[in-house]
Amino acid sequence: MTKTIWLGIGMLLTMLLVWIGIGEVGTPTATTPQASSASNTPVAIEPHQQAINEQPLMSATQLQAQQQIVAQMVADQPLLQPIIGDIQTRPDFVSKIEWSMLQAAAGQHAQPSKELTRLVNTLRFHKMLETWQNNARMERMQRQALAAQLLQEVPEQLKQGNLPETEVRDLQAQWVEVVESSAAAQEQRLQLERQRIHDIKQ
Amino acid sequence: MSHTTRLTRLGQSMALLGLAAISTQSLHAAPIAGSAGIGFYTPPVSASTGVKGDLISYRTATVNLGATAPAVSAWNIMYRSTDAKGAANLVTGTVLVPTAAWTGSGSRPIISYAVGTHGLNQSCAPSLQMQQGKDYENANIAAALKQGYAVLVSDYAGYTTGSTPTYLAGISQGNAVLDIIAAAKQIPSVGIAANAKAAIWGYSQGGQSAAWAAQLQSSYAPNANLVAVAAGGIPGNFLTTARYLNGNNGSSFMLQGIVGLAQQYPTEIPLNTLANATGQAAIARAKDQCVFQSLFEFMNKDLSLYTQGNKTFDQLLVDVPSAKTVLDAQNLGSQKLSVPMYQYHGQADEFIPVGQSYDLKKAYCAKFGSVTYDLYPAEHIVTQFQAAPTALAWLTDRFNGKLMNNSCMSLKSAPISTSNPVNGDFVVSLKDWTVNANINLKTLKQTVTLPAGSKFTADSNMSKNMLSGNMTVPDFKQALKIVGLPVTVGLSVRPNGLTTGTVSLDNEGQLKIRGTAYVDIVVTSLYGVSIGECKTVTPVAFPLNFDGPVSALGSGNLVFTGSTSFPTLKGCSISAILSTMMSGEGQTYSFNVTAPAPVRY
Repeated sequence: MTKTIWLGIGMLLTMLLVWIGIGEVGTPTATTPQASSASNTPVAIEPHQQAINEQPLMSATQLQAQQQIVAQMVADQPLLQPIIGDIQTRPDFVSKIEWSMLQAAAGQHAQPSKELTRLVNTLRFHKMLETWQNNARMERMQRQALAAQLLQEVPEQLKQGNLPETEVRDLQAQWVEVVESSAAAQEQRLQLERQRIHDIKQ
Repeated sequence: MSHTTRLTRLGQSMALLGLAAISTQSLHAAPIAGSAGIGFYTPPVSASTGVKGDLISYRTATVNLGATAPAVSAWNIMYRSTDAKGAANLVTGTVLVPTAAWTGSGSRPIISYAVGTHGLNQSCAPSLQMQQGKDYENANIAAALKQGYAVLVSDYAGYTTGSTPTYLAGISQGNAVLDIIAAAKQIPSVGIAANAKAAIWGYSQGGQSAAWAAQLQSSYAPNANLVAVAAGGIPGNFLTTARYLNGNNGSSFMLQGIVGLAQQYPTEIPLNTLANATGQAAIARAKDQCVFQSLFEFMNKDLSLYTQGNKTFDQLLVDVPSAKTVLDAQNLGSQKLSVPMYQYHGQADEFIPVGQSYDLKKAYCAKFGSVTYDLYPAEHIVTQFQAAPTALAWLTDRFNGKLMNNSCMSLKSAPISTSNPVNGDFVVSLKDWTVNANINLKTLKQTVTLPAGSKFTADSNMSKNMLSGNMTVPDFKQALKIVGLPVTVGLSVRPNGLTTGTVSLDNEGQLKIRGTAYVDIVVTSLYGVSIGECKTVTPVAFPLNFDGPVSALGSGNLVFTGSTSFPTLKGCSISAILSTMMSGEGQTYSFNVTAPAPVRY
């Protein structure tokens, strides 16, 4: 009798296990060629790697000091002239760390020398722009000259795709206000500068 | 017994054995070649006799399932099935078999794919939609084909010429998705073995059909070799679902359902006497439309607009008790499942209430059915496509005989709906969707990858065609080669205002998004050294443009790509060099937005 009861309980348990799926056994087969367990997770993000053997090339203080030297140099003489041809040595307005970055970027290009010259001139432009933005109290004549040079060079920067057009148009408006004294002259000059960027995009 | 008699009897026995050994095709009448063009959908004279599962006619077909679908051999078929009242009917459908050889073990499995609502007009039939490359469920069908399975797509009853679909007549639909399995095997050289394992997979109306098939199979189609069913978005309780739809975003489904059930049960639902002039016009209009057109045209319309004396739904149930009986007859859960089921539902489902789907799971489990239930976070349409990889993987495991645990013993409380308000504007919400994004810096020739935890939340107002949302990105660090060596750069991508734009869904289920996300990009450190905040002087505008099937919302293919300009950076001692390296045009990007993962219930 006892055996019968235990057998009955065992059968009930087996049925219960079958019902909740543990007991489902199918024909053992090889997996299909395609993956049998798809995932709902999206495409994996590229892992964020730690820098390999990263040793800071310099401390924060050193970085700041380096940058301050070149920034002061540019502030003193903001009208940096374009560089033509291959650049063999680091220009004075380029800090050491900036020089390393430019060289590394240019090295990935098909024509590294030409690209380095282009990047140095782009940096040159950005340094003048930075001087313009950070030195509102610059001596008036110097500020005018800087604005005029930036106006002159910005179409080429736009042509090279170094700045978005919306930003160029905003900057042109700021520079024209400094370069031209009267409202009428400013309007005329602004139209002229707009036409230049229009022409350069054709 | 004489020797001659013994031989005669032996011969007779062998003849009988030979007859029995002949494939089941001999039990079915020989099919005929179907007509070209729409003539295929006119039942031939020979269709007046036969048995369920008979292949009546067939023809080779051309289908367009999208650029990524594998090459297939395709046939349109007409076959005999049984309607919800037990009468023979004729059903059309499509049989798709990948041309690539099956390399898995055993014979090529079959998926009978039960489509969701397509619409009442004959042109909405999946067989016709697939020919034109317009079927909104192409992505799921193609996914099943990519696994190497034969995929059978019943149109359900009512798309033969001159007929009206018996939309939502559950038993008819369940029978149709079962009978197509037998019918497909009768196509000469179809490449489907007589003993092939079969599964049924469907969503919404298709989920209803798949669940009915699982309930009916053991008695109705015991030879189907059905091993599993995947059914999502199931309207298991018709009264609850009808009340949820009536006068709300999904009211077009209720209108179509009444038309379909009246077609199946004309005496019980005397549509002509119940409908007023507005109702008659609406019915005529709905019969002329496919699903997306009906969805928007009949949205938020209460049934009382269409009834004689403007009787409400509840009044009709009292006045026409036969109609209530018909509704109750569509309820699922009163029969045991014959096979394991993967059941799934969107927690934010605005058309089919999530609560009654969970009740259905419990009902099946109470009858010792095996149900694995997943709750997806999104609404109805997204869930149909988001769940596809998991549903397919689950079916594949069943084809392979893999052991499984169901979730009948789950102790989780019933899920609570997170649906948007179901009345008024039809809003599809994306809540904390995952963003996998890459931004390619042109000058540096380096790619910035947004970190894990980047999210996108938005409301797509399909009624007003407006998109409004927000992207959030945790601050992160990434190694970038700046000086020829990987250097850790600290970055912060901060939304600047809302992501806004337009969104629309056309009558063919094509989604169009035009939006822009504005972010400030901030460089915060270099070599692990804080440099303050070097920030773009104006926000970067990332156009978010998408043109593609609505299935992309759920299938992981909602990808925004393009090119944008970075303004100059300002605010730190190295802003000029950062501007040199990062600013300007031609910065390409790719944002892949996907829904959060489901939760097992």
